[in-house]
Amino acid sequence: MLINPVEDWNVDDRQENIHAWLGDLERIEEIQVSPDGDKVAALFVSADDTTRICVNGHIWEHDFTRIWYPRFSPDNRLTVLASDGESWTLLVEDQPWESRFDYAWNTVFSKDGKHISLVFQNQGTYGIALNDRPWDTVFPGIGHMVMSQDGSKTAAAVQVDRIIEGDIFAFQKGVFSAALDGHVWPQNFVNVWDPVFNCDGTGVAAAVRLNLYDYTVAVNGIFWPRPFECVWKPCFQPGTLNVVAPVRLGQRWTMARNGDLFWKNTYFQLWHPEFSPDGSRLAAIVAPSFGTWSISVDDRLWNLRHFDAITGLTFSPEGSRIAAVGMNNGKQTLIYDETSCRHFCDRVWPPVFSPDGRHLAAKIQINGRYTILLDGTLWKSDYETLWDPVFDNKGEKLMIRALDQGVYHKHIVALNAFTT
Amino acid sequence: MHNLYILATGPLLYLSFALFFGGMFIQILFLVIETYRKERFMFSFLSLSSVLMSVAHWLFPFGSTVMRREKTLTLMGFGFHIGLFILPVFLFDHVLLIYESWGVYWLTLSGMVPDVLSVFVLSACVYFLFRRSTKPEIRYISTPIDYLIPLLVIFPVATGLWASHRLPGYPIAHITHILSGELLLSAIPFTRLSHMVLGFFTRVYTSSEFGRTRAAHDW
Amino acid sequence: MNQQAQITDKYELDRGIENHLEHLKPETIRAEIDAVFRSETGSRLKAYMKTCVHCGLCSDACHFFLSFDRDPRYSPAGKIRQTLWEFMKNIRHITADHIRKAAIIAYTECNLCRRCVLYCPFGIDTAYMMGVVRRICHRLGVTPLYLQDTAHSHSAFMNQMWVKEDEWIDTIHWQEDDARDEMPGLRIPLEKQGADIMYSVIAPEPRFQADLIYKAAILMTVAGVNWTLPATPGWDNSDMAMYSGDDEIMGRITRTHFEAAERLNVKKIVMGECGHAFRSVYDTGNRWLGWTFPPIPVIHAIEFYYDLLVSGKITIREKFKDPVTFHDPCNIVRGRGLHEKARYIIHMACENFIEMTPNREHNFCCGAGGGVINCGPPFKNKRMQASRVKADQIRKTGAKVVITPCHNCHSGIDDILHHYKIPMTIKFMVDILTLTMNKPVNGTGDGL
Repeated sequence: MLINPVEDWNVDDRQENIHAWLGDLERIEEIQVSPDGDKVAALFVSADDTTRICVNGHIWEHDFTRIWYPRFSPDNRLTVLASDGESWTLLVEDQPWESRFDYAWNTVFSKDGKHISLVFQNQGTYGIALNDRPWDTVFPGIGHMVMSQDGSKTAAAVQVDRIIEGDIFAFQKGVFSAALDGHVWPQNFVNVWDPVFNCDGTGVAAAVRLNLYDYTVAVNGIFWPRPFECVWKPCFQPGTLNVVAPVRLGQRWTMARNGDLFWKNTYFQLWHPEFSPDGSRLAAIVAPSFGTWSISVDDRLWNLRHFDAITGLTFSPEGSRIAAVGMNNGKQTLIYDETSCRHFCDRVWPPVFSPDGRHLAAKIQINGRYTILLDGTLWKSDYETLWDPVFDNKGEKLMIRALDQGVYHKHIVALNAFTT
Repeated sequence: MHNLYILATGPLLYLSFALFFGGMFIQILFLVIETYRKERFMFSFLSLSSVLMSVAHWLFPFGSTVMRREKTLTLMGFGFHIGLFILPVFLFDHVLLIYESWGVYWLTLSGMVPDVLSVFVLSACVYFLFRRSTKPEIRYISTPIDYLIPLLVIFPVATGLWASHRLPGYPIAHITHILSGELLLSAIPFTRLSHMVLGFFTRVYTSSEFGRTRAAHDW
Repeated sequence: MNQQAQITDKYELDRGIENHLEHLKPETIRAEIDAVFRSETGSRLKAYMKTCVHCGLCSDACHFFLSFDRDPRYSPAGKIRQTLWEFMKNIRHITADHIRKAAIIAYTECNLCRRCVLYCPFGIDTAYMMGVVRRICHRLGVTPLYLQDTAHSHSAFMNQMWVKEDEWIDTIHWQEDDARDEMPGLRIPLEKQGADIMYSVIAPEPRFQADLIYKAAILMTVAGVNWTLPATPGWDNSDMAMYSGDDEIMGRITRTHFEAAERLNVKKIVMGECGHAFRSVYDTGNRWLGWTFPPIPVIHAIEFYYDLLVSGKITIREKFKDPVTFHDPCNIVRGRGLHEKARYIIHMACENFIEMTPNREHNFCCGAGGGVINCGPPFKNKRMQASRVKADQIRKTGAKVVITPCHNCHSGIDDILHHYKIPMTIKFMVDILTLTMNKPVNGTGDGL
C-alpha cells in the first residue's frame, strides 16, 4: 500500500502569504512545508531574541527559550526540538513530550510518520527515545541512530564502556557495539558504523572494525568471518536476511553477500548499495576507475561513465527504473535509464518517481531559481524556494510546493501541463 | 691494440648503445605501465601549461630560487650538463665517425669550444666531488657509487682531451676514451645517472600537481 | 654532534610507539613493509628513489635541518636515508629498533610541509615518501599515542576531539547566544537544507576556540550569506588519520564530510581557517575515495573572505593599526596558492603589514603541521628546537601581531612565541576581520 501524504488532489492553487505573518515578528528564518503541502511552518526570531514557531499564521502557544529543527512527519505533524533552558523535549503539534532530557536531537520518523524517535543525553549518558519512551539502557556514547521501517524499533552504534581520552589500548580492545531497543550485542568492536534494519525490523547489520586493520560486517552481533581492508554501509535484501556490503580487497572495491564475494567485477569505489523494492535487483554508485563515476546494476556497468561524482541513487517503486544525480564540472544533472538529462543545473535534488515508475521528477536549481524537472521537461515557472515534488497515486498529477515573494503556493498540476 | 680499437668501435659501441637505449626504454616502459596499473590517478592531474612553466624555470640557469641561492653549484651544474650533452653529440671527431658509418652529419664544435667545455666538465666533477666530501649533509647521504659517478665522467672527458691534443701516450688515451665513454653510456640506466630521463618524469608530475591542483609555483 | 641534536636524542618514551614494538617480530615487519611496497606504492616511489642524485639541495629547505645547526640527520634526504633507504635495501634486516627510529623521524621530524619539493631539481616529493613511512608504521601499529588517539576519535565520532553530537549542537547554540550580545537577532542556522554554503570547522573550535564559530557567524550574517552548519557528524573537516597513516579512516572522514554537504545539498563548502583539513578534503582524502576533485566545491576561508571583500559584501570600517606580519600556512599556500589572496585581505584590513622573509611558497613551516603537534607532549621540546628558524624569522619582522589562517600554525606559533619569548600575539584572519569590518547594529540575515 503506497502512502500518499496528500488527500485532496483537486486543489489548483492554495496560497499562504508568509509576509503577512510578519507583523511585529522580526525575521523569518527557516520555512518547512508539510508533505501534503497544506501546512507552512516558519521559525522566526523576534526582537527580544526569542525564537518561536508559526504554522499557517498561528504562533504556537508553548513558550520555550530555544527551539530548532522544525520537521514535518510523513503524516503532516510538525515537530520541533525545544528547550526551556533547563532541559530539552520534543514538541509535536505544539504538545511537548512528557520526557525531559539534558539534550535531545536528531528527530527521525517512521515511514508512515506514526512513530517518532530522537537521541537523548542525560547526565552524560546517551540513549534513544521512541514515541516518548526512552530506552531503559543508556550508554557513554551513541551514534548512527536508525528506526525500523514500521517504526517499532530503534537501533544505534553505542559506546559500551567509558574510556578516558588517550587510552588507545582500551579503545583498541573494543568498546563499541550496536544496540537494538537498548539491548546491546554481546560482542564489542573497535568501531561500529551505519547499522541498518531489515524490512520487518527483526535484523540489524552494521559495518564493524575488528582491530585497526580488519573490517567486516556484523549481523545481529555475529560478524562475517572474512575480514576486508574496508567496508561501507551494508544493506539487507528485502524479504530476506541476506546482507550485502561494499568491501575493499587488494585496493579495489567489490560487493560481498553474507561474507562471501558476490560481484565479480572490482571497482575503484563502490558505495550506496540499493535493492529494488522487491529485492530482485541490486544497484550501487561506482567508480570503475579513478575519477570516473557511474552506476552498476547487478554488477553490470551503465554505459554512462563520465561523471565526476554521483549521488541520490533511487529505484522506482516498482523496481524497473533507476535514477540519480550526476555531477560534471561543477554542474549537476539528472541521470536515469542509462541516459543523462540535457539540462545542466546548479543543483539537483534526489529524484522522485511516480508510484508506477513511469514518471520522474526532481527539484532543481538553475541560475539561482528553483523549478521542477519532469521527465526531462522544465516546469514553466521558477521560484525563490521549492520543496520536493509529490506525485499522486495514479501518476497523473504532481504537487508543487513553492515560495515566491513571501507567498507560499501549493499547486496541483496535471503532468501533461508540463508539455502543453 | 688495433683489435681492441676494432672491438671498441664495433661490438662494444653497439652494445653500449643497446644498453643505454634498451635500458632506458625498458625503464620508461615499466614506469609507465606500473603507473598505469597501480597509480593511474596520476594521469588525471597532468597539466601541460604547468609543466612548461615549471620546466622553463628549472631548465634555465638561476630560474629557480635554489639556483639563485647556490650560485656556484648552479654555474657548475649547468656548465657540466651542457658540456656533457654537447661534447659527445657535436664533437667533430664523433660526427665524423657517425658520418663514416651512416653517412649522416650535423653541426660540429670548432676552435677552442671543445677544450673549454671539457675543462669545465672536469672542473665541475672535481667541484662535485669536493662538495660531496666536504659538506656533512651531502656526505651523510652519499654512497660509494655517488663518488664513483663523477669519476665515470672524468675518465672519458679527460682522456678525450688528452687524445685530441695528441699528448704523449695518446693512443692509449684514445682507446681508454672510447671504452670509458661506452662504460658511462651503459651505466646510465643502471645508476643514478638515469635521472637524465627519470628526472623529467618526476618533474612533470610534481609541476602538474603544483601548477594545477595546488595553484602554486614549484621553483 | 652538536649540543642541540644531543638533546633531542633523549627521546621521551611514547607509549604508542613503544608498546607495540615489544611484540613486533622481524617477519611481521618484513611482511608489512613488503605489502606496502607491493600493493600500495608504485613507480612514483621508485622513480623518486632512483632519481635522487643525493645532491643535498633539499637540506637548506628544511627547518629541522636549519634549526638543528645543519645536523645531516634532519635533512629531507637524510631522513629518507634513515627510513625508506633502509627499508628498500635491507628489508630482511629491519628490526623493531629501525621501526622505532623510522616512526620518530616520520611522525615527529617531518611536517610534510613540502618546502623541500621546491628545492629539489627533480621535484621529488619527500612528504609523500614520509607518508609512505607513516603508512608502514601505522600498519605495524607503531604510532605516537596522542596522534593515534586523535585517529581513534575520528573513527568513533568523526571528529578529532571526541566531541559528542550534543556537545557540538550545544556549542553552536551557545555561540549563537554569545553572538547575539554583539548582534541581536543573529542566528546560526543548523541543518538548513539547500543553503548555499556549508561551513565546516575543526573540532578544536567547539572544544577550545568556540569564539571562532561566533565570529564566523557574525561575518556570514553581515555578508548576508545563506549558510548552514550540519548538526550531524561531518561538521568536522579535520583529518589526523591522514597523518597517522590510517588511510581507511581518512577516507571515511572525508566521505562523511562531503556526504553531510550532499545531504544538505549546498552549493559549496567553506572551510574554517585550517590548513591540514584543506589538504585532506581537497588533495588527499578525496583521491582515496576516487574523486579527482571534491564532488562539492570546497574553498578555504581565505578564498571566501577574499570573495566577500572583493564583492563588497563586507567592508572595512577602520584598519587594524598595530604592525602585523603573515605566516603562510603550507597546506593552503604550497597546497593551494592562496598567498596573494591572503595579502589582499591583510592590505584591506591592516595599516602596517610587514612581510616575513622568506614568504609565500617559500615560507618556513610553523613546525606544528603534518600531525607533529598532535604527537603531543613527548615531542614538544624537539618541536620547539626545530622551530628556531621560524622564531628568528618571526622576530625579525618586528611586528606586534602574527596573522595565520591555520589552526596548526596558530597553535605551533603560539608555542614558539612563548618558548622563544617573542612579545607578539597571534590572530586568525577572522579575528582581524571581525575587529575591523563594518557591522550593522541589528543582525540581518538573508531572511527566507
